[in-house]
Amino acid sequence: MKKLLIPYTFTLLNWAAIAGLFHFLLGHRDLWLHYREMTRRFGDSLHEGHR
Amino acid sequence: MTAEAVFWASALFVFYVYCGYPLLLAVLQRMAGRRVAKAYWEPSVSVIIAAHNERGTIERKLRNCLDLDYPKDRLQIIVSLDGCTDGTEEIADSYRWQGIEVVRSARHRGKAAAINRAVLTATGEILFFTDARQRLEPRAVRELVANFSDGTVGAATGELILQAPDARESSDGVGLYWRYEKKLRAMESRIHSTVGATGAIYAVRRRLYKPIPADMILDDVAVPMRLVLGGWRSVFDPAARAYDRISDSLDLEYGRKVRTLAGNYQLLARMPELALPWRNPVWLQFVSHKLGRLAAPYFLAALLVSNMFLARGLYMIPFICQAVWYAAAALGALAVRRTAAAPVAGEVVPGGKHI
Repeated sequence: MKKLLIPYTFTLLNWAAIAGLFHFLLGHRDLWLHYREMTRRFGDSLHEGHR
Repeated sequence: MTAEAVFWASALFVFYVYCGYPLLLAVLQRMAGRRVAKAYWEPSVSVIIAAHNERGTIERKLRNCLDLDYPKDRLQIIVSLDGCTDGTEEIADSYRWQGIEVVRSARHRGKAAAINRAVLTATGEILFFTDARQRLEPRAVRELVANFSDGTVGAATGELILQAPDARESSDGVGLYWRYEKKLRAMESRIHSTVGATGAIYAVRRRLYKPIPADMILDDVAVPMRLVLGGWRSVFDPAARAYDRISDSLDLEYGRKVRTLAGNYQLLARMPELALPWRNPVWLQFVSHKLGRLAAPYFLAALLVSNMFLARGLYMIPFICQAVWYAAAALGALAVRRTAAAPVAGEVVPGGKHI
């Protein structure tokens, strides 16, 4: 399973450049907030998992 | 003929970005590597944490900063609250009696603005930037600051270790990608400077800091690269460590990567001199590492499409390799979606059945 994820991860992270260009051209500046929101959801689930 | 030209140009480009450039760095660092004259000293340091709605992490981070192995009388800890609405302010305020300084903006203005605001109140000789989420190793400040005893160093960044759930360094797809990235940074640093820093752990000399535009996406690249353009070194020190838990969700890593790459486009638009070899001392590194990554997906697509037109004879070999690679990627995507969709133990599935 882990081995299978390597091509997927590589491809996904590579294609992120195209999404990045899209956000840049549309002038989306608040990607930090977007990223933080995603991180928080993940962090909260971790936190709950540790209780 | 056209398909052949496109195929070979794309293959050479992709090979250079992912293999040729690291090999070139390995050779250059042996021929022209410059050691950092690292020595332990204790200048005053301002630790700056920019935070927007970090209720779940801020307390852990403040305790982490208070436990740093560094003289308390030489350590200023500033939390810059950026329009928090979730109670982060109350938590941060409750640590003021322990010496934590809190600056705030009523409105959410972005990380760069929060950093600029904190720097206005900073008094330390060295500004140490860190995010709310990641845990710093107790010696992180001491190790990173030691690089500034070298008079040519203007900025330094530490190593962010992505941990798997068993607390070991992650070795899955994202973990491997990040390890590869850190190897590049280490080699770039030995030659002159690493192209950018890690937001979780980087530091600059305060006298060299100039406010960055409030809407800048990548403060951790813009701040050190400004110094590099001014002739200073920006080095990577793996002895200064911060830890983060690797996400189970590739979507999150993807979002992080999109933000970084959008930030690279913005950086190029705001600091076009980075693309000029006579202005940028690490031009080769910037073009190969940053711009190469931005262009890579287009060249990968061109490689696949041109190979489709040439899929006969010897050209069948790279075509089969690419087909296998993308098929494995598609299977990986399916596996990830299935894992994400599967209910976990203890979860109540639709219909009320507890598993």
